[in-house]
Amino acid sequence: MTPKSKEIRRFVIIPIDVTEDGQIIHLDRKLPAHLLRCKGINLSVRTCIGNTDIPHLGEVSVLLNSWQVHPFHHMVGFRRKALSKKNSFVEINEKLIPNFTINGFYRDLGKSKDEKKNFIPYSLNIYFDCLASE
Amino acid sequence: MKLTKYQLIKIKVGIAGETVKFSADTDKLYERIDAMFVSLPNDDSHFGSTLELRIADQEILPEGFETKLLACNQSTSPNERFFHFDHDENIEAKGSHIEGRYTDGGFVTGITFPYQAIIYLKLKNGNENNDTQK
Repeated sequence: MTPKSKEIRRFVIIPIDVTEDGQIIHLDRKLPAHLLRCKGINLSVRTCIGNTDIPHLGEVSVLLNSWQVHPFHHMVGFRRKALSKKNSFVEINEKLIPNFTINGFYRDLGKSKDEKKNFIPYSLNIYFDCLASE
Repeated sequence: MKLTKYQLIKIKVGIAGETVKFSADTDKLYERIDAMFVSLPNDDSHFGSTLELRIADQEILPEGFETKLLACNQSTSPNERFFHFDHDENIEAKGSHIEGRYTDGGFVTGITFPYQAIIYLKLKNGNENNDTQK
């Protein structure tokens, strides 16, 4: 019997830069073949957009294994306070098929505006908490 | 044998957007790194700030990993602010070499430069773990 190879944690980050009001950004990224499982997903808005919270900044949809599973579809919000009480990942626990892709989209909902209603560009990260073979 | 030690790595950040490389070695008297936490003097400095980290030549945090996922706000008790590694994830201490790169997010409103970023590593011996946050 062959010994089970050691599994290690690897984070995968997909950065998204939103430059236009209502922009839709398609996700299409091939994952490294040594990733075995996606344990969880988290979202974070990197930019400070303004002085008020925006609960519905955008919408994100994530599909794994080249469109085969759809484990995540949520609104993305901006919080004026950089730190949260807790940073838990949304648990999804999906097996990853080697060389398949992450797909989906991010859709801006047009809420990132200054006082003159001009669009404020912003960036966010989608984090994938994965297990990989060493 | 002592069970727990908090090892601090202090990083001086001189200007907005600066990237600071650092290296350190973990205490040889402790078996593993159980958790970590990043403290900045102003919570807003976490906007866009990132930490890339390798321990014993193993990628722990990839490039672009935001520090705000490695910290919690003041309403969380100090022992629960830490980012914990999984139980089966063995991040060996025992004098392991640490290499990292901290990048300030460039947020300047209300921030005084230079400031000191502090990385707390929670080192452990034995299997005892009374923490609840994962």
